[in-house]
Amino acid sequence: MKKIFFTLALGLLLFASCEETMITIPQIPPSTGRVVLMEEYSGGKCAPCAGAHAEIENLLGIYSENLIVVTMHTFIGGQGNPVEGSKYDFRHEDAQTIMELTAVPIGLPSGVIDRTLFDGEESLQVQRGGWAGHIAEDVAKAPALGLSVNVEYDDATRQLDINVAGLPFEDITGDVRLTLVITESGIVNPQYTDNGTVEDYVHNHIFRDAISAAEGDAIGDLTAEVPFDKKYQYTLPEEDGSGPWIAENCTVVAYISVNDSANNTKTVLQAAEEHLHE
Amino acid sequence: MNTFKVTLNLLLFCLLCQVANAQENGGGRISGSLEANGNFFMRDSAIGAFNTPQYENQLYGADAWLNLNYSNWGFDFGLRFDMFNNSYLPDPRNSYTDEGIGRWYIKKQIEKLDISAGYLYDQIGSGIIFRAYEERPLFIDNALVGIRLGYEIAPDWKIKVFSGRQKNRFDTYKSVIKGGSIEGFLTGGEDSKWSIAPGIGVVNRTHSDEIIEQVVTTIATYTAEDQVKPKYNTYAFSLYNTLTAGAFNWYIEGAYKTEEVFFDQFAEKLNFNGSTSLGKLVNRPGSVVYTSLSYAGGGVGVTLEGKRTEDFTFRTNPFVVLNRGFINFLPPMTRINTFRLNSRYNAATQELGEQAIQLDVKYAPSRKLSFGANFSNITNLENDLLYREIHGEFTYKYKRLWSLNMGVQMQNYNQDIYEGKPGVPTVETITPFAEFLYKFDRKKAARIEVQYMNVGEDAKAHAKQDYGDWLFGLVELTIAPHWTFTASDMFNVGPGKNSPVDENNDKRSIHYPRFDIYYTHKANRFSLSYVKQVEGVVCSGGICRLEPAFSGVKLTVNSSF
Repeated sequence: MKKIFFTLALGLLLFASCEETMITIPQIPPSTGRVVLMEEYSGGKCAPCAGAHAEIENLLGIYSENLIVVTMHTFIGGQGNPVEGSKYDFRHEDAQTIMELTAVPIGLPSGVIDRTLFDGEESLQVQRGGWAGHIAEDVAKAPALGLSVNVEYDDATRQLDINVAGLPFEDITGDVRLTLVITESGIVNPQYTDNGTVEDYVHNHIFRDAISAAEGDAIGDLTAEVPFDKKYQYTLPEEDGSGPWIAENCTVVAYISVNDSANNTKTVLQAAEEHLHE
Repeated sequence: MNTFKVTLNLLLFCLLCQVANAQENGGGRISGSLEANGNFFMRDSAIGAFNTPQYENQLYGADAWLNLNYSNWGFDFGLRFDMFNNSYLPDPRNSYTDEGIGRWYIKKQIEKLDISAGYLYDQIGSGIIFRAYEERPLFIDNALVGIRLGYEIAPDWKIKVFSGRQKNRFDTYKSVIKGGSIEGFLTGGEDSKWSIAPGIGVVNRTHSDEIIEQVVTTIATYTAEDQVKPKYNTYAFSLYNTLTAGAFNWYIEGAYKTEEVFFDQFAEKLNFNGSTSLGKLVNRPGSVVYTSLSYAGGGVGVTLEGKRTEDFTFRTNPFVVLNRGFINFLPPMTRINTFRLNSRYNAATQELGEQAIQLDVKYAPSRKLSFGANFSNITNLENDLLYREIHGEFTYKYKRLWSLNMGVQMQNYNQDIYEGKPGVPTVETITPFAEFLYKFDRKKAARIEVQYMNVGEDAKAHAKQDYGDWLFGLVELTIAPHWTFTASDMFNVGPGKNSPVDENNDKRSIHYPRFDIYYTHKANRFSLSYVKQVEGVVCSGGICRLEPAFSGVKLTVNSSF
């Protein structure tokens, strides 16, 4: 019995000095010029997605110019479906293609941040609790290139003349892709929330269409300090079952990614956006 | 890593060499098992079996585990090869392919000291503060990759300590887990009718720098009101005892966990723009009290269980979700149902808050007749009902010719909480069931199952709740010792709110048939199945996950040697 009490006492002693140095919470680090792309997967019948949208607006408020969000509605089914009686159905084949290119979410809401597989994650799809930390991680990285989008919009013809310009800070080689998509905000459409269905819910950053190929257009190797630019044209549709297509609520988003099939990565290196009416 | 792989290969080589040697001179003992599953996916958009890589492109997936155990020179060795090809096990909506050594271990007893190293399965008490275990159907393999030492400090008293990291597929999580326990056994003497088996355990988890970095950068985006101070270390303690006195057996365990940062999806968060949303990292301690009292004697068996859980999520990483990274195991408090419809709605154990009781009574007045009743009631800490089940049945056996099992089950199932579908009403079911077994002779037998699930109304949706009413029938013919044939159908006889619709938006009554052929020869068992399976929650030991619909053919092989 002495041995038992001795062992117990020893165990207690081992855990007696449990105090550790308090960790201080850092300030948000200053911008490095990196713009992070977050593809958020959502759905009309996904009640927790409404909470996630509030979290996204919070993160956009913190990172302002350094974070771009594209909200994807796909044909994943279940929570990804629109609420019955919805005026608009945001689900889009190109969003589906992009989802299949990256990863299918295990549940909604879910987010793909810079199409990067972060340490500790098993998929490109990151659950909501991990978004802020991974965005902070990527915002702190030095950008591989500078990227900008310029959009000339003609109200009469609803045509967009888009110019994407970039300046690589290092050589970027491999299967380099440029993807352009258009998003729309301020769309009123029903949404499940934790408090039931909200009929006049305002949806923001909704993926509306891919201007380039959904998989991105191959642009070849990029050489350090050698600028490049690409031109695109797109005609804004009239209101249809997918959304109102109101020009002043639309934004063109561009991003450069590198597909490395050997390592199975599709990392987004830099992103940029331009509102149609700036 | 190369050194590690070389070592493993050498170990495998030695093992195989020794197999031949052992078979020649009888110096060692080898045993093992194989489990292999092949899935052929057949797209069926009507039931929701589509839009995954397997249905759209891959069409085939497989999982396999080959386990070898070898004992010689006082050592035990083990090695397991795991393979996943286009597997939907980790995540039913994605495809996973990888293969490699899923487990190895070495064990040695040196007098009172036993040493184990490698991938270890173990638990403290009932697992409330620590359980390293494997649950293949749910893709849970929480082996501790590390070392464990056990020592007999006195007769019937043993101390155990361990340290390591938790397995994560073919890698490990970064947090370090260490702990130990002291367990004993005391009795009043040889003729005594009582005994106690007390124990005390402690577990410590230390987060890696990377995890803490992610935690603090996340908290940095919170307003001052919501910011919390994380720590690297969390400690969990438990005290437990089993008292046996005559026909009574009483187990009780109390556990406490020090403060740790975890994601509470129900916690209100204040955003910088003044809005609020649900879900944030919080820093709170946790506790669990679990007890089980049972009596067995005179044809009567009674078990009464109770459990209270508060903030007892204990994982390797605060950002992992669903069934990933569990360090512990919280015992479930509901009946394990085996019939298809009776097991459709399951109560997954709630880590953050749960109060539960369960009473199970069995009475057998004769060898021919037996009765069973079960009642379980689970609420959250605010006493809101999460799950309630009332189950009654009887079994009558006529000679060795036939037997009949009949009963009824009533459930209240909080779909909002268990499946994350806010605003939906609590699903109410009444499910009568019957099972009839008839033995034609010593080799041939037939078994019939029938269940009908009546589901309550969703007043808001003007429809039956969830998928509505179901009818299930099964016919099974066994020709011993080799063959079993099964045909079953689950029919959505009264479609509900979530049932699939046709092109006119009318609810469809869909059949979900299944046909199985099983062939057993000695220690080998083969099965071939055609399956259409509705979306549902699949559970094992209180750990559950939502599985999408399945359509296709399954082939399985199980073997032991």
